[in-house]
Amino acid sequence: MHFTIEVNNIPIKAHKGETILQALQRNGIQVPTLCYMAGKLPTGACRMCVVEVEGYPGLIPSCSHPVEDWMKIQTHSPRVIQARKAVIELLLASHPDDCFYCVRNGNCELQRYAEELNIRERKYPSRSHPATIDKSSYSITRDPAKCILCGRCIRICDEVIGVSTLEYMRRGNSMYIGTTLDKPMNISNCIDCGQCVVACPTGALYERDDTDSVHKALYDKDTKVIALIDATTGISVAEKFGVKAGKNLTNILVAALRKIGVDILYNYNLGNDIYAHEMARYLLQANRKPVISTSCPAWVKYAEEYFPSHLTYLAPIKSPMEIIGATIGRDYTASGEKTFTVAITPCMAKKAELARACNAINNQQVIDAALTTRELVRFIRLHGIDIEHLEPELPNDPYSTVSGAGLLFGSPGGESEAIIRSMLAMQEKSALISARIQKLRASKPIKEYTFEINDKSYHFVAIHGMATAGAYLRSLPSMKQPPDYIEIMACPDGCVNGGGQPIHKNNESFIKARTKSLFELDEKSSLKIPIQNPAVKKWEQNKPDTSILTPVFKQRDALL
Amino acid sequence: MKEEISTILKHYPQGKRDALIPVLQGIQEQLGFIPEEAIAPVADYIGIPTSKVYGVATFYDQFRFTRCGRIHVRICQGTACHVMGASSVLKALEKELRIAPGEVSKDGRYSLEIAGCIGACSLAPVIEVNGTFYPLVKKDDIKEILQKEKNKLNV
Repeated sequence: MHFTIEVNNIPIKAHKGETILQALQRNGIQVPTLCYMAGKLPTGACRMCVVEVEGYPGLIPSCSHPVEDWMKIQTHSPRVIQARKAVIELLLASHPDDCFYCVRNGNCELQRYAEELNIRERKYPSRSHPATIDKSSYSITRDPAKCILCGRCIRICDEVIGVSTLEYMRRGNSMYIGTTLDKPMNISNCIDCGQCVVACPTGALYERDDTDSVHKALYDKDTKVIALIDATTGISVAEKFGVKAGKNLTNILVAALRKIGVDILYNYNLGNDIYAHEMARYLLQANRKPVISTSCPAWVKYAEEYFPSHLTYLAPIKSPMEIIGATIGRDYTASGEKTFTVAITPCMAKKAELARACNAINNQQVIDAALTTRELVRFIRLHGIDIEHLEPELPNDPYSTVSGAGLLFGSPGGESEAIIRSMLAMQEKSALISARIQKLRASKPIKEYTFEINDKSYHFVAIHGMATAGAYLRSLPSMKQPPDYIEIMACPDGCVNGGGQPIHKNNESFIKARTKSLFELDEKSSLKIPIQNPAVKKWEQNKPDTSILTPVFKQRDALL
Repeated sequence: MKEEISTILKHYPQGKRDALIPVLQGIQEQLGFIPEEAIAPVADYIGIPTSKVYGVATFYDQFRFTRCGRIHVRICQGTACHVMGASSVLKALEKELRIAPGEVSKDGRYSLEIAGCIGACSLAPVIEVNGTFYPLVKKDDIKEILQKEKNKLNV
């Protein structure tokens, strides 16, 4: 049901059942918010979204108040602005004044609102910040001093990821966000997905920066620097360089990294192709159900903590990064050259994955560093590279090409599509490969698809969002017919919305643009099936030993 | 410790969130404090993450994470007690026991805790020592009260 309400003396249309904020946003009226998270129940904690409603004595938080047909609303009256200013001034009273040294300088919601609300002087004396920075984790750094207690990290960790590493501790003035028993992040139950970093409005949570180690390696004359560049990063940097969101800049990034001094650039997505190819072969001869994917390192860590009994379901195939890492590791161990390999992806969990003991060859890490999309953007800016004046370049042989299937991994369901294409091709049913499997491209959290090869039916399930996957896996033992393959991505909307992606307040449109871009890249690609990729064929002929392609999964003890 | 905790847990309904605070109270009553080892079994029993258990336990002043002394003194700092001079009693206690609120003396004999309000405002200021309440306390009474409690325990 629609009705008309009056906002700032102008009539706008509102729907029954929505909140005031939703009605305002749909009509293009911006109201600042801090604790509000689109699509989740409002908490009404921060009071930034207050508006004046005629007839109410006090100001109303628009995020949590239902809109009604008689309402006359003022969103930016002097009284409202004064209230919002007070909220920010009070938050600033317990926030360090060190924007210069902050990773979120220029992309901080608190800073932005302080500027927008024209706050020009300190109203309340600053409080000291005894809190120490937690740098223990491979992936996530926590600086509690910069926390404004909005609770967005707690909610994403609890409701979307289902891990609940972070929670409000203590009460009132001494409240802070911490972990169980105040343990450091590295021994907490954190699965390194990094969604809290994307959710954080300030610099209280950020990625461990590994650009320094890459920089050092670049200037070490004896070391060959090898970079693996992921197309999902390639399609996610556009808006950061002033180009239309979703535009594929992978080959421009290749050119930029060469200019910076990277010796060899390989196509990270080739790892996806090989993974899909190996997984298809495994599924065609496996006589156990279900087989669960191993491509998402955050999911693997989650499995080791929450489902040690399900670890036997995980496929005996390493993740795409580790497959290609192991291959490169073998190549260069043979040649005796000193190398430094860096993977550039939208993923935070890869920072932790590369350090796993089972991924080492001869006690040596095969991937030396993992940079997120955000770090890559900083690294390119650091070197003063002007993206606009670069011509696209191709990665180096022999690991330069990728099929459309390998590109799809960035979007949930894409991994399944790639494996299905491989399976059909292996059974000489290539004619049955459809350009797109709509059932796996819907935006649902759990997607299912069934197909047949030689009268044998295969049931695939693709899940994104760790909490959804956790609930699904709990129901697994009671299932009469478990699926053949379960694809799991910890991050909601998959890698295109990974923990290492550029941070935007409203990132829905960016996720859509990136997903669309991936599908278009697949459509444009003349190679549809992983095995059509010449690099996969070459890899097959000179395949590394199975022992270095098989992962080891172990139960992990943490306070869950 | 593990067995003790699981015996305590059996008295409460499993998988019910609303049992969390009674469970924590039960553990503290039996053990005198909430040990770190108890957090995981409690979370498992109630069916919520450990961070939520720890969040609730740190929210309330009544829960302790360290073992208290053999003589545990709680002093009320509620409004009525404050007005009636509880802060001078607290100072006297700190001087006598040589510990600050929230601390346990090195020999494990004494511990001191501040309570929000004990609920006996007509008898302010009030202190509680090992479950015995002392009304209308003045700073000069402290030595005598502590001696009484020492005698009870033969410390």
